[in-house]
Amino acid sequence: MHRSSSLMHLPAWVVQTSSIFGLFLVWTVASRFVAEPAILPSPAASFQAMADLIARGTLTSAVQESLITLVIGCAICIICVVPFALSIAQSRQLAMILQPMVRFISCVPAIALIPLFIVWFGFSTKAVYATLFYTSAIPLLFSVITGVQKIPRVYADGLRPLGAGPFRIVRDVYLPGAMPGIEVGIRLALSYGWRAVIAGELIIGSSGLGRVLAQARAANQVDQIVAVMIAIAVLFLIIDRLILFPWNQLISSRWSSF
Amino acid sequence: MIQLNERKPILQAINLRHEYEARGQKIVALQDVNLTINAGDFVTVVGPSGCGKSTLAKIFAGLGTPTSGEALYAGKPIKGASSERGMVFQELAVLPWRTVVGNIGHGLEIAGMPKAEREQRVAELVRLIGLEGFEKKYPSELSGGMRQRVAVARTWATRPPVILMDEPFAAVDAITRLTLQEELIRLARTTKQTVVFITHSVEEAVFLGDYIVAMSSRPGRVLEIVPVPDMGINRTWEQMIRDPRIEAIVSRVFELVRGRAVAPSTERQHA
Ligand SMILES: Nc1ncnc2c1ncn2[C@@H]1O[C@H](COP(=O)(O)OP(=O)(O)OP(=O)(O)O)[C@@H](O)[C@H]1O
Ligand SMILES: [Mg+2]
Repeated sequence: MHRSSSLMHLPAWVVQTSSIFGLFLVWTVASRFVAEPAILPSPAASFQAMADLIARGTLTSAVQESLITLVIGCAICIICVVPFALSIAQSRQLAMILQPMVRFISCVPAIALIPLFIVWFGFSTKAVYATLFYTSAIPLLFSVITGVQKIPRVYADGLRPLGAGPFRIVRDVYLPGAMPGIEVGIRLALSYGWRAVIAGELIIGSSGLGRVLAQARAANQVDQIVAVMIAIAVLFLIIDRLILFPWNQLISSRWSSF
Repeated sequence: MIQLNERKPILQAINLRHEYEARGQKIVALQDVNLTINAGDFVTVVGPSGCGKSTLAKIFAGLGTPTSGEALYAGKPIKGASSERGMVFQELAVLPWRTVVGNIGHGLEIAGMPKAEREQRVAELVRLIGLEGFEKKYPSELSGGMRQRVAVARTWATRPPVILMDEPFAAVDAITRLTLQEELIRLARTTKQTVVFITHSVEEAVFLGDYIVAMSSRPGRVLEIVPVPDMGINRTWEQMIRDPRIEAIVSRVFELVRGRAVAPSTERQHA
């Protein structure tokens, strides 16, 4: 409870949520001041729009589509990238050769690749998946490689005289040892990936929350745009706090000795 | 059981030389090292810090290749690590994400020993190193000395013919160390394993070894091999310190490693 001590002994969660309430307060005042719902709708109007979108089923199905894209896309990304990263990190030379190339590729922002993905895959979810994969793979790859390189060499050396082969060493040393790195990587993959999914859907217009945003913009429904924005933020907050944060706590307590 | 010929060489170093390259600078860690260790020997290697003791142990373990010269195991050149040569490292090598029993049983698990048998063997070792009650603890919940005991037990568990121990008791308190040393001697003698025990403590080297390999630093060489009279399997510190022969050996080895001895072999005058 030491976190609340400076702010008048309030519980931590009150302090943490107060800034969000502050934001809503500023927004309410600003929308009154602007007095033009087509430019800045009030919070009340936005929540009304959200309720309407939910009632029509648009928002719920869009949320489902976007989340499914995110989860499946990230799962594919993790399945492909983690083993790849673990195997190249084993050899310092290989990592040294490949890293500049990966860094060079990563200089091209995913948004800039969307036109190419549209040419390859059409205006379909496949193009969204490609955008997501491209965006998430790179931070995941680097985090895992960094995670492996932080493992003291003596851990792997210690297993070899016990009869461990390369596969054993990956399974018993690199995989668990790189867990903190993998965890950071998955967190980054999900948060970058979430942005990529929304951006991809927005431009490609295939499905999901991004498409709802694009449609709301086309219909000049600013209250709907804001409603979807809030939904996007809240969803990611829930994923991060409820799933990723507890996992992080578990890993950092177990791995604390190095 | 295979009857080992007592005087059969098991580890050999022939004109070993090892260089490290660090930021363009060459460091000669070992030079002209010739050494023959017979099966069943308990050898201690003593020398000042940086004289290449760990380097020698890693070469014997197969974790490093010498720049030139040869390292042999049972007459054959050593290529890579093998479960026939266990090693306890100077640094802490037990895995932080495995419990005490998970670490101790790791080698047995790799060897594919059935679970029930493995658990029994591990429980025996836990008792031997005095860690009962800590079976399910993780290394971060243990003291430095306890962790090192886990590392020793992990290597001992698979009963490799050769065990290389690189300053395994450095982090153990003086009292526990005495017990562990006596235990180690008993264990090594009853199992007839070959032990190469590295230490920077002259007393420890004399207490444990059948003979002592005294090394000098920069470059690391073998100065002399000093035999120790057989004190039997149940040697104790009390018995050892009262023996005048032992006292003479201790001071001889001290002179050697401090570079004050008149070298019996060749011209080793240093600046
Ligand atoms: N990885 C390395 N890269 C460069 N130089 C090294 C490396 N490892 C050891 N050395 C050098 O080789 C020499 C011998 O090192 P080694 O670790 O074998 O010594 P040691 O006898 O085990 O010392 P200590 O008693 O302090 O453990 C030292 O001078 C050290 O600086
Ligand atoms: Mg050393």
